[in-house]
Formats: sequence, C-alpha cells, structure tokens
Amino acid sequence: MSNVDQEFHAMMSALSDISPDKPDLETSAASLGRRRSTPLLVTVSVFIVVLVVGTLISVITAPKSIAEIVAASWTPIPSQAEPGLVEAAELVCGADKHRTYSGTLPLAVIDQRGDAAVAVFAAFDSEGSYGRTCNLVRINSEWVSGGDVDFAMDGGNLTGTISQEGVVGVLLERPDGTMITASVGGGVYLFWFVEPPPWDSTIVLLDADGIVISREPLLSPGEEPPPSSLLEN
Amino acid sequence: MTIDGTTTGQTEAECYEKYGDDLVRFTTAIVGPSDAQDVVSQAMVKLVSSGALRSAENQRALMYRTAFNEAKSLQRSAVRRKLRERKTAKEIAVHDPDIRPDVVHAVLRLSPRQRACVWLAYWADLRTTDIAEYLDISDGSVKQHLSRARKNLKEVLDE
Repeated sequence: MSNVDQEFHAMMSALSDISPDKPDLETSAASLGRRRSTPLLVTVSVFIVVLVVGTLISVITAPKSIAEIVAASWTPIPSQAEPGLVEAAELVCGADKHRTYSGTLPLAVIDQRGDAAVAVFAAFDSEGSYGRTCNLVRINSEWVSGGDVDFAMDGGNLTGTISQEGVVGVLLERPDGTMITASVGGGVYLFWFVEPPPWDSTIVLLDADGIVISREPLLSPGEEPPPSSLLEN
Repeated sequence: MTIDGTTTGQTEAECYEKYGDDLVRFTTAIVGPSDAQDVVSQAMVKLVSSGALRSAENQRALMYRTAFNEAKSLQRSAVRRKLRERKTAKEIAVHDPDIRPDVVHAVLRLSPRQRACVWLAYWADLRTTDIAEYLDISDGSVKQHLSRARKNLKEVLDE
C-alpha cells in the first residue's frame, strides 16, 4: 500500500470515527415535517398577502369610466395643454371631416382640465365660421379619444369666436361672482363644464392687461345664439 | 439479501438498520459530523415517502446516491462549506492527532465527489464499478476522481 493510500485510509478512518450515530428516523421525520410546515406557512401567508394587496391595487387602479375621469378632473382654471395632448388631438381627431367645410379644420384651441380635455378645430372663411369639438381623456398616462361618450353633453361646452381685437382672455362670471377661465387660441375661446353654468352668467372678454373689453350675457337655450358662437360643435 | 454489493427486497427499516451507520459515516466524510445526521435524515425521508427504496434494485446504492445528492445540496454554499471543513479538521485533530494537519486539509479540500469516491474506495472497499453505480457516474469518472485525489494528496505529502 502506497503512502497516499495509507493516508487516505487513515483519513477515512478518522472521519468515520468522528461521525455521529445514525439519526432516529421517526424523530427526524417528525422534525422535518415541522421544518417543512414553516415554509408552507410562509408560502401561504405570502400568497394571502399578495392576494389582498393585488385586490386592493386592482380596486384602486380599476379603470374608471370616462364620465368619472371627467368629473374628477374639472377645475375652474384650465391648465396649459401639454404637448402630448396636442399631438394626440391631431392624431385622434384631426383627420375627421367637417360636415360642411371642404378642407381640413386646423386645431384652434385645447382646453385641458386635469385628465380631460376638449379640442376645437376651427376655420373661418367668407361663408362664416366652422368648428368641431373633440373630447380626449388621459388613461394610463396616454391621451385617448373620449369616444362616443361626449362628456361635454352632460354639462356642455361653450365655444365662441373672438371678433374683437386685443382679446387674450375670456372668463365666465357666475351670478355669485365666481369665475371660470376659458382657453383662448386660434380666434376661439373654449370652456367645458361638468355641470351647466347658470344661464344668467356673463361672458367677460379681457385684454392683455386683464382689463375688461366687453361683457356679454350667456343666452339660455331657445334664445338666439350669440353672433360669436361657432356654427357647429 | 446482498449479492456482490447489490441489495434488494428489504423493507426500509431493514435497509436503514443495516446500512444506516455506514451511511452516516459516508455523509460525515462529505459534509462533516455536524450536518451528517440531517443529510441522512433528509435522504431517508425522501426515500421512504417516495416509496423508491422498497422497489429499488440496489437498495444500498440508492441510499448512498440519495444521501450523496442531499450532501451536495448542502455543500453549495462556499462559506458554509469552509466553516464545516475547519470544524471537521479540528475534530479530527483532537480525535486523531497522528494525522498530519496538511493531509487533513488536503483531503477536506477535495471536491465532494472526489471525497465520496475516496471514502467508498478506501473505507467501504467498493470496486470502481460499484462506486459508479452508487454515485450515478461512469466507471471512468470514478477512476479519474480517484486519480486526481491521489495526485492532490501526493503533492501535499511530497512537500
């Protein structure tokens, strides 16, 4: 037997000498069963927690209806239309043809309030003015068409052409004195409402210094539309 | 019944009664004395719950193979392995001070498969073909493992 073989044998003998007794299998099986129940308990607990959290998240992030988004978004003062919104409006609504206008209506103004917006495409020629509105909502960070659900129908939107020079701001003054600010652009002003404004409100036109240029009463349905109103919405 | 290292037809309890002690010694050579019992327990619980042992053609080989696989799973953490080797080396030094510490370390540093081959060859006196069956590797691999293990130890002894 070589030196190496002897050493190996001695080592294996030493390892065998220090080895413990064989375990009692009944005790081992019981303890292993206990050990296994802990991971099982943890797994079940984690599963339940994930389920509960998942349900909560799905409830919180459940898709809202367009009407809910619109209602939650409305503010009396609009925000500046985001570039992404302008692009979306052109993409989603820009190609739609006007019923009587032969050309493509350019985007005149967008009124964004929170996650909802109304865009007005408008053009003017010798025959008169042409306008078309388009609703957009932001769902999952993306602006999409408000579709057939015309949220403006619930409260209505209000558009008008601006014929007077120097008008840069338009307000709607309610009888109680509170103001709603319009978005202005392309010779058009635009509001949208969740609830219709009282008909005895007033449209106030302002110049760049905030000085009132003119005040026009808001006409109730059935009355002659103001000359500045767009022909079609 | 044992025919040329092949066993069959025994109940699990009989198998364990007969080979349990050797199985713990074999496992001690791979994972050290502190984890050997756990490894053997895990292996036996697996074998009993699956019913594989009762129907195995070579029950002893299956017991060693399963224990070896359990031992390998335990060996995977390098840090834990080093701690185990240190602890085992200390125990051997206390128990058998005649064995050179460098030999102890050289053997403990062998891979689990090399150590398993060495134990089965030098302690259990099994032939390479039997070792191959016990560890589920080829006869050539067993020879290679033994050759490398001898070479490693020879280098230590020659220094």
